[in-house]
Amino acid sequence: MGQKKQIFYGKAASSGQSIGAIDLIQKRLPSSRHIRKKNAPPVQETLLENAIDQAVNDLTQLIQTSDKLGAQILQLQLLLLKDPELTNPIYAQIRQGESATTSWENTLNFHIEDYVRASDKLFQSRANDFVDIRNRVLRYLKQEVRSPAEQSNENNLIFIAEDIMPSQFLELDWSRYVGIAIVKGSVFNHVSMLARARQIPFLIRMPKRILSLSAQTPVILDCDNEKLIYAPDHKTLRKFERSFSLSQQSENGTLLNPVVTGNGRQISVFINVDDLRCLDDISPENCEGVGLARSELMFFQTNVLPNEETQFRAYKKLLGWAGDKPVTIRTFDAGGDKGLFGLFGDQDQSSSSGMRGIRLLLSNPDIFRVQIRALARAAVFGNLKVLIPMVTISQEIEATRKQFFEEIERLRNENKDARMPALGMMVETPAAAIMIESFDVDFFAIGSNDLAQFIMATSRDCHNVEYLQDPANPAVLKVIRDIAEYADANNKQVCICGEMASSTDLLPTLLNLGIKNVSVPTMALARVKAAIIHEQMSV
Amino acid sequence: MNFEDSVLIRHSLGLHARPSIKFTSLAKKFSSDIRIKKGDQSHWVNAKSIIKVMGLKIPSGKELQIQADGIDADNAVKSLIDLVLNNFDEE
Repeated sequence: MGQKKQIFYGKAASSGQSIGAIDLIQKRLPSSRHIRKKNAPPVQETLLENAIDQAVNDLTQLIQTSDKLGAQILQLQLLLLKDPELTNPIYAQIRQGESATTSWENTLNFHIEDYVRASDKLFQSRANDFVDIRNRVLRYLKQEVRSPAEQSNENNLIFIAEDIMPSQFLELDWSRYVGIAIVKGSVFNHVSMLARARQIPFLIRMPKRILSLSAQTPVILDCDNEKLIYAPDHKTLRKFERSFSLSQQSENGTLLNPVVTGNGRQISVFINVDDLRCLDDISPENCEGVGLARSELMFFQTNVLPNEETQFRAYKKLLGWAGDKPVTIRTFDAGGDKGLFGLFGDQDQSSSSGMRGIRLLLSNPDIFRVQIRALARAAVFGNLKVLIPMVTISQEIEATRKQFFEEIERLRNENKDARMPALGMMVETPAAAIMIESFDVDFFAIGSNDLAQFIMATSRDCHNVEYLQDPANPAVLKVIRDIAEYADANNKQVCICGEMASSTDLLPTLLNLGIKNVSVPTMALARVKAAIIHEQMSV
Repeated sequence: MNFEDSVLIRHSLGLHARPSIKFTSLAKKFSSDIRIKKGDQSHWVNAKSIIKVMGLKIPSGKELQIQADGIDADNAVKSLIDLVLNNFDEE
């Protein structure tokens, strides 16, 4: 009773917001004390066989009740459990006198460590799948029975734990849970993929302190602002519920474009498109166009570096959807923390200030050329704007423009229609922001996450400097205001398309800095529109 | 009968979970012993084992070498190469 309001920050692995009560899931790995007296090797072998059989049965049943993605993820675990290359060495250890539990645990831990140490983040995130099967078999080895009574009967629960495993996620009764917050996690692992596919709000890398919060206390899980509000007061709760209901109203179509604020300013709200499938659920009438299509993510689903035709068809489809509204497509922005590893071979992509964005494209002309050809051909079919990521100096824009001209010339010689699209740049580096007048471009987009990170000389991966990880720091805001003023004075559009734009906490500040265009994920569209109208009315 | 060939992994995620599952399931359809290795390494592993194949952690752009020994070795290597060339049937 009388809990004090606290706010915990994490990283969003899936977007959305929900209100619920804490369900604190304790680690259920049993302690070694419960292990029964060691039996002879044959008995130990049988113990392990039975435990694996039971785990296989569990997973087989769970696959039947899971959707396609869930089933695929569990299929991997099932194959691992049935792989003699995994189990034979364990049985060999048992025959040498080791217990079933120790052999299983040691071997699985060895594999888990091996994946944790992998240089590729996507391979790292597979460690989780091994932890999942390790724990499931261990539970049977240690004869732990999970009683159904352990699961609470409440509704609207927020799952809070150190970590969550794929099979655990799939076993949860999702009619009773409305979100997850965990201490560990990775945006790349299978649980995060599942949460995104099912649109379940999911915060990862939360502070450990969330594990000692009181169960059943109300919380607001606000993934769009990457925070968990514990024991919110009535005012916070009411404000949240109001914005929730406003966004539902607008989802019902009551809010139409253009979005005019209470004091009469017109704000253009664009959408971010990462996956063309999201266009099925939204009409171009509901936005001003596409403010940011991250081309590297558009093809992520097919898992393959797309050829010119594939790219051309996708870009054309996007332009066709938008009609005469503008469509801004950003060229491949692989590198940094963006999960497109391997696409460009072995070049150093691990650093957020290294080989990424336009730097990577200009040094891989074969890949860039294909994309430029596809874009120039698609430009014939609509209002295409091409956005160049991670620009630092004006020569990068000039080199890009030159390549466009060359490819358009070639295409025309091949009797293919092509057009020069509008060319714009992401303002993400301090160098670009400071020298903004030196760039000959048609429009600007502010990548607020990277810009804030570079200005504050810190990144979200760095711990102990959280106090500097503030996108609303006056230094960041001053730079954004300067960009907005320069763009305004020179009649060029500037759009904010980072997380800042869909943060309803920061949006009013951005509007006050003179920002007139924002681009947000489709899921946040209604909420952001509601926030624009709502906030300005209260001024 | 012994047969060997190599192919470049173009799948943007590399030889990851789903590609590895497809690769091992296809390999299991042949009676030959099939081994694979990462182009620049000397460590061969069983191509029918998911833990071994995924465990190679081959990223995109790396060469995969396939070797088969048995009655259907020729066909096995060709089919596995085709699977990789077709990007594991994912597009």
